[in-house]
Amino acid sequence: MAKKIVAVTACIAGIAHTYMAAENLKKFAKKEGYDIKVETQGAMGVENRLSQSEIDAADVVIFAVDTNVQEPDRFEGKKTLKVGTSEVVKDGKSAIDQAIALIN
Amino acid sequence: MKEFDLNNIFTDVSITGNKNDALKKMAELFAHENGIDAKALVQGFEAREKESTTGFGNGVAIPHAKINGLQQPVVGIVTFTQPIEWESLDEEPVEIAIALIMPLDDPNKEHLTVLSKLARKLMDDEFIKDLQNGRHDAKKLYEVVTNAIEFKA
Repeated sequence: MAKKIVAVTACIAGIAHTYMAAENLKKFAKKEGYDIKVETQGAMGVENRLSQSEIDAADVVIFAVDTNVQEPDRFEGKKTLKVGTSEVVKDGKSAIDQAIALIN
Repeated sequence: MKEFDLNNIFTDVSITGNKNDALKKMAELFAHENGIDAKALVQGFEAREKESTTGFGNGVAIPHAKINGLQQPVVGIVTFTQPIEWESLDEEPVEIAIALIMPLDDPNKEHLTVLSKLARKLMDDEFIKDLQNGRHDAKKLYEVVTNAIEFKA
């Protein structure tokens, strides 16, 4: 079964990099055959919100954030990769690979 | 008036100098076209670049600024005759800058939705290729961007 990734993206202004990082994570997760759902915490607030069951079912979590994750309690006990949004925008593949390396 | 129109696309702008000179020139162009204070705009762009570069790779940068009293966002494009060193994530110089100029406090979710769609599109290799191919032609750039994102008239 395909590995399941859940991710949260958030940048300071919440206008551009939040969404660029989200898109790049999806792009490279799909390329490598993983399931992914990305919650964006931007200027529009929380979108594509991860349910607790989705988080519980995930193999690994990626926080691509330049600021605090909202409601971090939801992710307690999960294996989590924390990176900045720029890193993910620059190299989405590397972020996905690093996350998968945490569970392999 | 809408967020993005042909008047806010400037192709083959010649800049002698660095990123700051480019930001200054962009601020002048967009300030004049949209009735924004040029000084506030360049300060906004510079402050954002100090946080982290907006040059995200592939020769494209997205300088952004928030402006007090602005009624609606302005999306504008400037392309440069000579690539500008932008401290980009891939260390490549920038040929195309897409400016995102936002009202300081904008409760309008439609505006933000438009900008987030544009941001997502920037991760699409085909879209970037189309921008690069159109960089000497304002009409072409207008087409590429409006085809990708629905702006409100």
